[in-house]
Amino acid sequence: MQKEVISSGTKKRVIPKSPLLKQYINNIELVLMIIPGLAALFLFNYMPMYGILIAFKDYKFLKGIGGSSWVGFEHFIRLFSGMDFINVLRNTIVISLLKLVCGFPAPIILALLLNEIKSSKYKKLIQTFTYLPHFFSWVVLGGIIMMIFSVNGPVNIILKFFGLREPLVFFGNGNLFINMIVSTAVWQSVGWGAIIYIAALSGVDESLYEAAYIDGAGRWKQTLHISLPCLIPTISTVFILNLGQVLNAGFDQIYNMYNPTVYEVADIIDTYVLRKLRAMDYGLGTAVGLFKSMVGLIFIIGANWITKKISDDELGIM
Amino acid sequence: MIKNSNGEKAFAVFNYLLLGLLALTTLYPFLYTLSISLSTTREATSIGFHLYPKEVSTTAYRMVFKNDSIFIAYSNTIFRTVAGTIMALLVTSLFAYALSRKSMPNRKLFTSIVLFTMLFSGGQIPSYIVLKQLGLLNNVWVYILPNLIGAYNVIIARAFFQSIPESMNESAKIDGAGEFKIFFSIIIPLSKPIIMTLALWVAVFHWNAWYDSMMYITDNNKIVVQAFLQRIIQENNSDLISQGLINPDIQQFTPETIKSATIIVSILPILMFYPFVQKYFIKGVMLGAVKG
Amino acid sequence: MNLKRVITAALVGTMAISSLTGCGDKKSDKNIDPSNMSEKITITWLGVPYNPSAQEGTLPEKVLEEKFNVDIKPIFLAQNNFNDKKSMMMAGGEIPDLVYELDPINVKQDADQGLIMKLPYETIKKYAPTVYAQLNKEAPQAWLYSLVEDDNYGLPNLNFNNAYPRIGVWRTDWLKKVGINKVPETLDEMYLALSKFTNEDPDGNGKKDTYGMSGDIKNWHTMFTNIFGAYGVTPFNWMKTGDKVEYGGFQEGTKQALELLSKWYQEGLIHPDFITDDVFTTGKDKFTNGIVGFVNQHGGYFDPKNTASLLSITKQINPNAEIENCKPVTGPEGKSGTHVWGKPCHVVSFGMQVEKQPEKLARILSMFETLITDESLASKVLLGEKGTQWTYNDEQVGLDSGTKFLPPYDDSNQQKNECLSSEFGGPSYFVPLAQPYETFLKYRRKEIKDVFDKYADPKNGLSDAFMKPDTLPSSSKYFVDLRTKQINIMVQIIKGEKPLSAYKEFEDIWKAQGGPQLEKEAQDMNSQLDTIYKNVGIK
Repeated sequence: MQKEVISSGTKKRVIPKSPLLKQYINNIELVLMIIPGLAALFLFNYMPMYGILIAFKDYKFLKGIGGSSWVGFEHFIRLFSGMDFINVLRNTIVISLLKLVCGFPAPIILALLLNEIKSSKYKKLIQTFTYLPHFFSWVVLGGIIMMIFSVNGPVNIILKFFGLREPLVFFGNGNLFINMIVSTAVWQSVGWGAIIYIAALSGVDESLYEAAYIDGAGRWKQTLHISLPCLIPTISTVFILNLGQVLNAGFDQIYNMYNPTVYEVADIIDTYVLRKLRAMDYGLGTAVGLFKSMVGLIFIIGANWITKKISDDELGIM
Repeated sequence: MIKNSNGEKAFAVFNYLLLGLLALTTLYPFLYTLSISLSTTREATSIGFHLYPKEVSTTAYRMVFKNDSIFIAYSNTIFRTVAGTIMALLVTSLFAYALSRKSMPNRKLFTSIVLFTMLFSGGQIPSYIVLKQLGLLNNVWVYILPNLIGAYNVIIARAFFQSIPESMNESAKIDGAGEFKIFFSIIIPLSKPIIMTLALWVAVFHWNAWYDSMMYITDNNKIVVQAFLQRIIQENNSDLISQGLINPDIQQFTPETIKSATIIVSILPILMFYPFVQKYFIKGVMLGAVKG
Repeated sequence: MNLKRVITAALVGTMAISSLTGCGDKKSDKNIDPSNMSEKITITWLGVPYNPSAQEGTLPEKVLEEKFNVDIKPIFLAQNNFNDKKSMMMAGGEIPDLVYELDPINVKQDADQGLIMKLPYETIKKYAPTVYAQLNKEAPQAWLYSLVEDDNYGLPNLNFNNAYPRIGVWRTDWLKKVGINKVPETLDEMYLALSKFTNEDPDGNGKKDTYGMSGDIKNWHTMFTNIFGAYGVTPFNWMKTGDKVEYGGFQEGTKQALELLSKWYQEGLIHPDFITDDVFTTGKDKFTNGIVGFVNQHGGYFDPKNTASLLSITKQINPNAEIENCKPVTGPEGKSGTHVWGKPCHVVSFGMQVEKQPEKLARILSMFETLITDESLASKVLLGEKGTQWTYNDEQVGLDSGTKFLPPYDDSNQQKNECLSSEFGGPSYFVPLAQPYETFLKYRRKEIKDVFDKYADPKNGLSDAFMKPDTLPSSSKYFVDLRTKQINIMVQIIKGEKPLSAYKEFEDIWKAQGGPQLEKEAQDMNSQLDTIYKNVGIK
């Protein structure tokens, strides 16, 4: 018999739950609500799921996935022992983590800053402009950014104005390139990413601010003690979910801007596999995907567990 | 009037400036593309910042709309965006809401089922085969049905619904309301911010989607605007020239102006959607409900 | 008439009987008479990916259907997802009868998967002798493309356009301004011109904002190709040296060229953007915008009628600009050349199911044969009807004045959607093979013909011994990465970050990371070529 633990404050009560069938009957409406979603998930996500097996097989179209022969972990071994894989894995993690560290707080800060703008017209205008880059593909943005950061481009002109002797070769120097990749990625997504936090902030009770002001708190304290705490559930959910993408370091962006001289630091799993996958090697491709998924899953489970521990089971997605 | 200290006034000025600067930089790619789309070919190929066209020319737009295909592509995009968004909103929000109620049986199980799909997928070929078996190949419903529910959206929406206290349900049930009635008449009005955010996310997804159109649709009159645009841009990809697949003598390249015009034409409508959504991000939506 | 009917009936009857008595699944094709087209045959046709918006029922399709009594079901895919979508279709069970393969690796993959049939040389020779002979004469190395482990799996085709080397283009108004009266022909002359472009303000605006030239490292086959060619090498290709093949990157000429390029870069002749420039976009822009005075381009960019050509754009931006082509410069030992892909292009394969339908194979191959021997049919299928889709530029002069499309087909999109093509030198959707060389020359636009004749001698084209260096089996495993490392070290040497002796680092990496394996495969493939030549009857 399942028990449900209810925690109120520091005390915990244990209530015995009714048997499963009875729960379903009692909450039949809730159950009905998830039927369409479950059907869609089953048809479009779970039915093709057997494709994961390709990672362990020598897939021959004519034999089908079921009939193809089993090769165990051969594809994975090939992947991990490939020249440069360790390097590529390291690059992926470094870029991903940098993007997370810089890119995760940015939309939150933007949302909070926007919250402080009194003029709603200005606020709406700024908001609309900031999410624009999200709509442009890296094919377009890459070209523009390459022009701006080029040796004779505006960034270097400005730097020269401030006294820099030799222009910075952003696309020829590994470290500069990574910095540029991370900052432009953050810049591209900050406006769009802020929307969810703006939505969350709009649900905050205005009277809380008024009460705080009466107690003598300035805007800074109000932000710290009211706005931010109200955002915590959203922040933690988004954070945990984003960790699932830890091995996706931004293929489109890097592919459109990198060149051989920066491969050493900029080559990520996806670009590496793309070059090697000209041979349409489905086993390897699926193995890579499975590897990325497993790592993502581990990160999500770990982050979720930590979050629950910290928040006394309040937060977390599971 | 809330009086500000000097520190707060200084901050306000700084804030306005900083955000203004950010907005200008993010506006630039749009200005750049818009400018090129309105330039003459001569100016478009000149190297420069292209903040505005020195010589305005609407040739590119005329060329884009000359081809009937774009109107057909547009109608498909509009269909999938409207129908796809409405249906996805329904399915996703019902699902997320149900999972947010503590009385939902097997809550953790169903959450896991959804979460799993965010990370793991069967791959291109099995998806193609399944879609084929379901009769969705070359069928406009392939745009809508596989996208009715997405893990990310469900989890985020569920987090929002969880902030609506169970006491709401209890008091409504005492009045004799069932869960569906509660959902539509109480929860939805209280959840306008998240509903509109979901609507925005799903609508933008549908508007920008091109992969499914390229892979699963063969009929020209069923493709969407973005797939149409991708075709134009990729057709003149230098990768293909370099591999000897395109003969530069014979091939006439799509000028930058037309590529830019097609980008603007495909972005503009969805940009106009957001201000409409912004209205719902007004503060204090939950106010009356909680107090009541 | 009656006699014909009797014979036809007899033939059909014989075929029917032989199919009943034939052993196993393979039908004997001994009794197929390709000129007998009484039986209507359906062909699912996956052709070149240049017409993604076309639909069934185009003009060329109808011409073929009528003439050969076939029912063609065309499949139109786009270039950017051709291989993906083709694989998905076939994985889902739809295998076309005619399968167009873009790269040797695709042929190998489809053969491994059992999706395409073996195509013996004898069969091709029997039903398409002229096509067969043309391939043997013009580019027998192409047979490598369709070879998978000693068996032939398709019919390679050609593209004559790819035999022409890249042509250099100079700003002659700049040359005049700095006191040079003729287009540079040697490396030394080029060096002088480039230095003056960098240092002597050739555009006369008082600012030192011009460079000699830029470069392109992403499109490795174009990377300073004329400079390397002046020393007789292509640094990323396999080069035939007598009986053996050696990697171009280890030839003496490569190091000499690197030394020269390094000197040029340090003196400021080469634009620092050469590591990010793409010769087809930003590199070209630098030339048209007067930032550099020399660029390597394919000859066709010199067409004044084409508003997107290099000439047109340069003049639009600066009406006083004058440009002129040049031959590849000669080096200290009189060598010159630039990279070419060579004539071999793609491969036409046939779905596995066609193995049981030899009459279909015979029909298709004889279609190809007719298309290469019957010029009027070919021009109908390629250009359309004279007077409706196209006509001569000058009716009096005739074909010599060139052809032009008539509205609405003068719009290139309309051409593509109707599967029309003025390309006689390479494959198009319904004619997946090249026309005879003479026909190709006849129909080539005169302006282009003049430029090519003057500057682009195919003899100056340096191609890989195996056409595409990626043909080697271990290419994706080792070669792609090795080439990247090679480019990196070259860039470092050119920029002066490392001395010329640092090239040895690449040699060490090559030895340690798969180079010897590649060398072995290259020698093997070289021997395989000899075997192929014997099999197709060349040697």
